[in-house]
Amino acid sequence: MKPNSSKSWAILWLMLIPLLVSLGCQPQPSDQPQPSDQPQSSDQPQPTNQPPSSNEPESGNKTFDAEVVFGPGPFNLPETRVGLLDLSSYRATLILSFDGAQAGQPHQWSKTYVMLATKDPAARQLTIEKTGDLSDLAPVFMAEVEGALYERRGENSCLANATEAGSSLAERMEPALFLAGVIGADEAGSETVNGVAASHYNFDERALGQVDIAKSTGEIWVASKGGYIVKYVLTTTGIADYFGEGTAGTLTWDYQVTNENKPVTIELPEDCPPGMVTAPLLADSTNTQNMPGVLSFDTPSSLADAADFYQKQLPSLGWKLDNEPSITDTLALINFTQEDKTLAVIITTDAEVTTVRIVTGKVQP
Amino acid sequence: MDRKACRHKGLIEFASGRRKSMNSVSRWQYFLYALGLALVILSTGQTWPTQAAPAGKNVRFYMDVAYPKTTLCTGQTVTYTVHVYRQFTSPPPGWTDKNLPEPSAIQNVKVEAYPADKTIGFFHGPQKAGIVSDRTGFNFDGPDSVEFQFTAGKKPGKTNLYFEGAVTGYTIQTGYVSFTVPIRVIRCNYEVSTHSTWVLKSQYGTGFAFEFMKATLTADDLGYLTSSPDPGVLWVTVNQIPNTKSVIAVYGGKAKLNGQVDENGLLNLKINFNTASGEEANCNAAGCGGGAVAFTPPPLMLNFPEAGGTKRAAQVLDSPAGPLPGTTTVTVIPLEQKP
Repeated sequence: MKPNSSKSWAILWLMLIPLLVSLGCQPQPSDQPQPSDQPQSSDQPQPTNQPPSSNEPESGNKTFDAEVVFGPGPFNLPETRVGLLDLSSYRATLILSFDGAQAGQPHQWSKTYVMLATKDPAARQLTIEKTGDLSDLAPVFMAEVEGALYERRGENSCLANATEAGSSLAERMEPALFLAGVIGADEAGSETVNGVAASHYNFDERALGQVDIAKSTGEIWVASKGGYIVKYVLTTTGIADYFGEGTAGTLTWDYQVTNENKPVTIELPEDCPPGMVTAPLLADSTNTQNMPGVLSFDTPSSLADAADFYQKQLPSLGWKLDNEPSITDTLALINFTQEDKTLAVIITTDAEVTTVRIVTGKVQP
Repeated sequence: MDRKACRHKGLIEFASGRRKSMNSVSRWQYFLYALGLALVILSTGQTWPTQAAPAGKNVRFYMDVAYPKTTLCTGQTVTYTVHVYRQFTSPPPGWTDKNLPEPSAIQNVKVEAYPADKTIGFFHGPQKAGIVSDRTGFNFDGPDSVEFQFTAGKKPGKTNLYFEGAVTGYTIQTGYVSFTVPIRVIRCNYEVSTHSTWVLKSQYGTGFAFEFMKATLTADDLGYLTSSPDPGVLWVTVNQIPNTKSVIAVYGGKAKLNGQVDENGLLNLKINFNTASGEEANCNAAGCGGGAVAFTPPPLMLNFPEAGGTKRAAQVLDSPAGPLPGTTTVTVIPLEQKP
């Protein structure tokens, strides 16, 4: 019996060791969610700072934990953008409207957000139209095309910047991200809404985790195929000061997704600069600068070698040579076109360095 | 008695308070195997930070400032976008994904903002004891956030920007969240780059003119920005005529830039291009001949946010072939002044 017993204990220890190791890998009770605990999606707004490790952490950033009671229903949709990124294109419209009083005076306003999104090529456009008693009624145009983020407010001229981490429209301004997630909504059957078969749910302020200070009623339709929100309507009536000091009334959210997987056209205002230049670089390039509309760099390669490189590389990327290249000992101009876009490769040289500038533009009518 | 036997005996005695038979030992072993196996399986699939929250607490509230700018130029106005998030610390009912739901921003949280050192800059808006406040949602383009505009003063320095929020209405007493952004205010220069394109297509062929310029604007004590020395401008012209060798010319020119940051935090920029002149082979239907040529683009006036960016402007070039419509693209990048 003893050998058998030893063998059995050995098996037991073999099982317990991974258990102990795995427990050691778990967050300790005092740990807070770390970056790896956060949902990882490059398209989601990731907090730049994770919740710190206590209510008075070293960084001085304060957080607190609470027991929040949600709705009694069986349906949960805590992530309101779920399924959207799987669509090849869509149009999302959010109309946010307020009707109430501020400082005893009638107060009404409305904002309409329209996001157009397409996956291939990746591009987005957001417009915001505003009416009513708002301090700033200037319309807003934003777009993301060819690696550049465009913005035009009111009558101001169009401004472009290279898209950076955290600045993309999908991360900052996706209308679905503005909707409150629901926990504990009630089932209300199946319906077709906006031409899409969907499951219908009802909820109230409890599904938002809220109590006392506002009354809400909401409905949500979730696409049977794809699981994204097709329609979301929420009406919240706040008691005095809920919407700010001296402001009370009713706020309505009306969100709809249409044109799923249908072609989307994104057009920039006429005065917007060109997008970022996407072109290969010579292997020995230095001093590279990529700005909207122009890519430039220096190279120790000869002008002839640089010109030869682009005459070979760009056609393989879909660019067609436009006219014969103009090449001398000190300058080369090679023009390409692709659909309605132009690309001019301008190469200059002096005794020490060859400079390549690649300028993008539009075919002139 | 070896060590295994000792441990064996100890476990048996600890488990029951008395010595058990071998059969009993086996049953305990089987029980422990099953328990161990169950725990191993459960623990390997466990990625929720359920241990993070105190018992009974299922949600954490916290504040975040989205990608805060921490280095500002003197006089620069920067917008800080503040969110207050609700993050599940244990899975909501029915949640089966291995990751917890993404944090969601909540509305109607009153947020206050103030700098630790008021001599470094100020937040815009009505102030009470140097503190401005607003609520997340509704007043801003992003209806789940609150935006604060901060303008740095004229002197360089460091301070902290404090953002503090009070969360109410979530089945809790009011809870407080905060976020601190350390900032550094520096004196800045601005790098200004331009590139222009003019194209003229005619029955005789296609003429191109390109302009490239890069300059650095430096500020004087009064905040006026000038380019000194005047930056060089590269001009390239190409005439492509069918069945004829292209006529190419490269010129050097000069430009003069000046600007100022106004009270709205906009950098107003003026670019004057001097006339670029040289010798070029001019071509027309009758053939090509040499001659002096000159190009004079009109001055450009644009404004930029101090954070910089790229804008495009229509630009008509006064050229030997007559007025040419084209465009100039201008990029402004703030740079830290070198001591």
